Amino acid sequence: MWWTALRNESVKILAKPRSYLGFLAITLLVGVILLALALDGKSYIEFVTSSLQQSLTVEGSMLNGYLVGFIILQMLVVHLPLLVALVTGDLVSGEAAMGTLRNLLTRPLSRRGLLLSKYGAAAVYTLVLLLWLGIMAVMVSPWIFGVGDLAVLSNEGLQILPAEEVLPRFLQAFGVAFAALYTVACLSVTLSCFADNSIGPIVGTMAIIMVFTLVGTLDVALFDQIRPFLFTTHMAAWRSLFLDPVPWGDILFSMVLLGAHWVLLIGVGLWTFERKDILT
Amino acid sequence: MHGSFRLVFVGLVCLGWSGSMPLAHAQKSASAAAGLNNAEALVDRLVQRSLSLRDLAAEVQVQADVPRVKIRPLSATMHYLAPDRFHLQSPRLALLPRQNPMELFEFLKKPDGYRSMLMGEDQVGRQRAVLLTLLPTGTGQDWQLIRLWLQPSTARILQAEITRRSLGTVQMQYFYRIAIPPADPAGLDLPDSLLFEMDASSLKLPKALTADLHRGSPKDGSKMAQRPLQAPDGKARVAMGFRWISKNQGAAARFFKTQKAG
Amino acid sequence: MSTRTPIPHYSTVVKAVDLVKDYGTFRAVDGLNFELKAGGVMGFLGPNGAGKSTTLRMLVDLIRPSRGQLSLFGLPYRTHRQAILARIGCLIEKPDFYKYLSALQNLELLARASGVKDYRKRSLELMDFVGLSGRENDKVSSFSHGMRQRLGLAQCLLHDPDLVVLDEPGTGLDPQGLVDMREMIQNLHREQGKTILLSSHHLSEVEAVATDLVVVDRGHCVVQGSAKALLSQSERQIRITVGRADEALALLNAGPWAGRGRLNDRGELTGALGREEVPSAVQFLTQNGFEVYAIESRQKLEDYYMNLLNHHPTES
Repeated sequence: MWWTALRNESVKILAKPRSYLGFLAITLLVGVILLALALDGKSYIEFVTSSLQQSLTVEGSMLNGYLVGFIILQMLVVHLPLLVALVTGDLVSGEAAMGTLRNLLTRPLSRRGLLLSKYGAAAVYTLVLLLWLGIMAVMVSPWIFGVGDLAVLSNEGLQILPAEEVLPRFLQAFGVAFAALYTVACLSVTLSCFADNSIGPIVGTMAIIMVFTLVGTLDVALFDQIRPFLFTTHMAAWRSLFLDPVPWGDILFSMVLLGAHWVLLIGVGLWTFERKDILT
Repeated sequence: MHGSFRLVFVGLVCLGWSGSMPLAHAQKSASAAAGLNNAEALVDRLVQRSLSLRDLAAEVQVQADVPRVKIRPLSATMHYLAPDRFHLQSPRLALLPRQNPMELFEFLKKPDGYRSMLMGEDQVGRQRAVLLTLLPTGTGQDWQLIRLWLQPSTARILQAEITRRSLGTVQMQYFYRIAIPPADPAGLDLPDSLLFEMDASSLKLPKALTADLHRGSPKDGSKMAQRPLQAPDGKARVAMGFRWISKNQGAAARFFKTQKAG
Repeated sequence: MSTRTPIPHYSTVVKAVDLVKDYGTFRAVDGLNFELKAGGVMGFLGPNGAGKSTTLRMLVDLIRPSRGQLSLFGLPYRTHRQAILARIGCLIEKPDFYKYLSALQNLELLARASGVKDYRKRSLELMDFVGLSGRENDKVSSFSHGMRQRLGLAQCLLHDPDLVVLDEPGTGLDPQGLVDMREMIQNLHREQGKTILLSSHHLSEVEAVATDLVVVDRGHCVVQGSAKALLSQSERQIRITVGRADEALALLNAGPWAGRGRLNDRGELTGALGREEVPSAVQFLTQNGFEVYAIESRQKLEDYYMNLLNHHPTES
């Protein structure tokens, strides 16, 4: 029955025009980035390596598909939460506003099962959106720019990763990025359980992300203790997959922390939804 | 030499090259009796050798140790065609000194362009060397000063220090597997490996677009403490180990011809 | 059709005992008691704000009671939610659907959620039953309100429920739509033997189909019983069509029939009179210069209902 409910949720997401906004936005943004880098990517590379090139020279093209893919990911992953929340924040509250939640909740399916199917559908949507970004970043970019070693600018400096290692790292990075984005999805679905309109959970999700990000950014001693436990701190954990050596312990900590957020948020959602009076 | 880097570099060259004669500065030359003890004689030997370099191809292993840059060792193919065509064909990104390994030979080929002075003796490692200084004669030249540490008996280059207006000062150390250079004064005497050393204290890279979560932010706790890529002494080093696969056989000429056609 | 957990034989479909629902400090349902027997059509009546919708939502588990006991088919909700809901079809308030899906897609989706195996066949059957054949692939957004009401009835029958709960199914329907809806409800009751709980402000529609009545006001049950018995117990309503009805009412109130008459919302003079009182009342009016055009003696639910609420104001 849970699979049937998941199928129903997926059918609804597929049929909803709003679901395609994210894909459209990603396609447009990636298109703009690809065009900009195709036209002026060399200047970007020169800017990064100008100091280096005073005494050294880089043989081979730093501006390749993998670098472009990495830049795309870096620039767009921060925007994905909004695109995710736009759909997942509507999953419960949108139905409440439309009145269709009544129809669903009077079916012989447990509320828990129904809500879990919505969390499941949110996971599927997040995954598909991320896959689309992945296709655009890691397949279209190399198709246009070719492949090569990936030069990553990190806080430590410039790291050049061999081309053959890049794809597996991208795959793993997508896994970590999914964990972070699914936390956003869980947050918005959970907020959605409290609301009867879809704007509230979407705005609420973004507001929480902004506040947590601010708390994580401000160099205030008071926040030092909580910073490692905010999910927003771990939104960029995927980038660590491009460090050499990969800090697996730290990534594991991020994954465990994000997983704990899933459990907590889904738990709160279930508790609320089980007791919610449907008045719309 | 930066100790750990030298160790890795020596290991790399030894492992990579099948003919596993220990890499070291050439030991005392058996032909020390030849006694090239004036500047003209040394320059003459260097010019003869340089002129014999026309077409070279080599497999080269490159290892770069540059502050704030992390790049793994790589294998590539190097092509040199006299007078000035040099290309490193690499499947991967390679970090090389702007001063390419063959440019010194090009400079030495034209003895009219510089004055030479013998500056006495010196030590390169445990080896005795004579120090030859070359001063370009023209005005407005890019080349400013060349100091060569040479094996006294054979004029084999053990170390070079080149100062150019465009590149600053680059130090090159030459390593040979065969202790005795060819008897023929005009014979090719190529190093099996080269170590370039440059000042990189002014090297700056822009900050990353996004802060790394697990590395680097100074305000993070111990878990996320800053861990620099290397512990540099302000020098950038690039080591190149060669396996000469074609000397004056036209391989480089063919390569550049193909490239042009391509 | 759907697979359902077998439940023991039952004669009472709905049993509410001291049902209470509080929204903060506001008590919407206040100790409501009623029963619905299997096979009946219960008219569930009450003015706006009486607690009807809250009660119906509690019946289908959209709202959890604050206190009291609610059992359906002899089973408590707390332990048998799925088994109960598998036997209930409902149309609560207005029919809402996914506007971006077609009518058929909406029904299929809800049929799947109800565990109906051959969901497409069942959906098409019901589209036909409610008279929407040929519109299966139209988006619900293009449907009129009446069509949505029909689709609403179809969705509540998808899993062949034993109890059908209809909350204002006639709202917004044109006269023909009301007749069609009444016939469909009668069909469900007579032909398919379903138990029906019908809440509506269209009292004539309720009267046409209801076998039992419950009237609630301010969260209490005012009266419950067989429709026939309740209507026959009450005084007959006499409707007198008379010129200057308001003056006539004032005259009656000043004389021996004080407090017995009232004006209905159409301006007609109505009152609860014994059969033997009718001639003297007519004579009294004509003697005082009023022209009596028609006298109608009837026992209608509307009159009963209005009379009931006027004479049984519940304490808050």
